[in-house]
Amino acid sequence: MLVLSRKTGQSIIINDNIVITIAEVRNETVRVAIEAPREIKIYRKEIYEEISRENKMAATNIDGDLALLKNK
Amino acid sequence: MIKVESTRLGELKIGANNIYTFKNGLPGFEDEKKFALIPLEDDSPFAYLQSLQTPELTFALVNPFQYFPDYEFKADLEEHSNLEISPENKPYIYTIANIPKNIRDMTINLAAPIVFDPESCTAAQIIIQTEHKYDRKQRLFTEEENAGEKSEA
Repeated sequence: MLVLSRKTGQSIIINDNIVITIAEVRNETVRVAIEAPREIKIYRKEIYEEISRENKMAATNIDGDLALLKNK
Repeated sequence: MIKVESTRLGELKIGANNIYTFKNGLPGFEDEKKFALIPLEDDSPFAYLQSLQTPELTFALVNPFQYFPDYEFKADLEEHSNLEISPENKPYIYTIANIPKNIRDMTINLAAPIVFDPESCTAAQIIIQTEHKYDRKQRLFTEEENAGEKSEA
């Protein structure tokens, strides 16, 4: 893993088309500005992981019979 | 017709127009790119989503608008550049369900709907990033409705 230090206002360029700029550092929080092509998906990692967990749980959790509800 | 093996649903024959490509898979299942969308009945809000690669992988889906008419989300479709959705080209929207033994305790994940584009036969799961807007475990039936159901029975 590459680890590097940046100051506020400094940037990192990834793959010629993604620019990550440190917008603000305050106490424990770093605000990051990301410029990327729109087809690049950007998620807060914990949100992606939550959905990933939910999906895995749902895939194993179909115990009831949906057909019982079909005439609702 | 395409033959689809499903551990849960048995051997199925599915029309090619119900086979959808998820270019990026789904979160947690990034390698699963092909699924069959199997509505329970013509007008049913329920459907199954069966992986073509993995017979054991089946999701239960619910049309959220049937139960939550005010449900809404914005999706940046350029992010999902394979989805060719235009106003004339109405997508199907489903949410993934958890269905415990007591089916009336089922929940749906309103925070991550799946958009199906029937024209291009592509689909993608959208993660709504507006914090706390929708529940990942939204009950379909409230406790009160369930109590009513029991007393009628």
